Amino acid sequence: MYGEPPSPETSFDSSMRDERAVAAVDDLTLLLVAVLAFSLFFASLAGAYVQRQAADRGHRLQEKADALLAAVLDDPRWTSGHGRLRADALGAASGSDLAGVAAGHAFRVVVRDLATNGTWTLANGPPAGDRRIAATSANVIGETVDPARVTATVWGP
Amino acid sequence: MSEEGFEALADGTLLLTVLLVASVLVVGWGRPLAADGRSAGIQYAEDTRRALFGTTLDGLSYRIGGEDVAMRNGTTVETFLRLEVHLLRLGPGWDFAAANARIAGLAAGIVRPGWAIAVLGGNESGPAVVRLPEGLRMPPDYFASGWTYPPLDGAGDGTRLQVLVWLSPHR
Repeated sequence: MYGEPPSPETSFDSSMRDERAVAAVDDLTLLLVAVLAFSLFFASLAGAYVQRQAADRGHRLQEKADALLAAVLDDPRWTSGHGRLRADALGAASGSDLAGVAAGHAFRVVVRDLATNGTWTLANGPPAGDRRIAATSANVIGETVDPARVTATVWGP
Repeated sequence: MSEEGFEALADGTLLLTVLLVASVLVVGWGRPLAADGRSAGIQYAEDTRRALFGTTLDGLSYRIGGEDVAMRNGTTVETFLRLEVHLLRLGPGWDFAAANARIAGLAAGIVRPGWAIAVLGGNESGPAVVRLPEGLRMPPDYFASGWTYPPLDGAGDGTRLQVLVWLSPHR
């Protein structure tokens, strides 16, 4: 008469799913893929932008160095024709003569007489940041006409 | 996975593909274009030719028939090479070895570190009869600058002098 009460049914259908949970897992998957894809894209965009900016900056500096070199080789104050630098006039030249060409960048131009090892340096501003170099051959005219190397270095941010 | 789940996965895959392609394009845009160094190389060859040929040397000489013939001091490299090509055109027996070695040494010192140089001279329409330094093997790619001069005696072909420069990393 007072036997054990029947135990409650504890079994359930294992194939039964909560539809909201399934939808949430689907959304989560999609979200992860989207986050991954956008992260990749924006990282690429940022990297490419930085790379491009650095290249443009380097290109502008190189143009400055080339312009400086051309100005040294053709300036009538110390040349008698393209690449024919007069030793006496080089001694009187200074960095401020070329400051306009460098457009505010620090620079150094070195003219080296390869026969006598004589050196003339025209410089302006303290070197800082990236640098670009342009160099070419020329002559230094004194008592003799000697071979020379002209090197222009420009620094910039 | 539900049907909507498969659709979401397909959308995600498409999005990933599109953004991957976009990323590749963006990286390609960011890569700086390789600078075209040809015009700079040609200009360098031109500057080097003018500097070398304009240089004056003292004590240049050559030999013919066992005798030294001295050039006057201050002779330019250009003048000497023109004379050398002219004389070699007249026939054998001329010895320019000492002067050629000096000019080759001068030329080697005038180029920037990492560059090499050769000087060629000959008739306008013929092969080079002067090659400095002697025995040099020319690379397939180089920058050249040359000039053609009228013949010294006013007859026959003109004289062509050339300077070739090229990057030589092993130097």
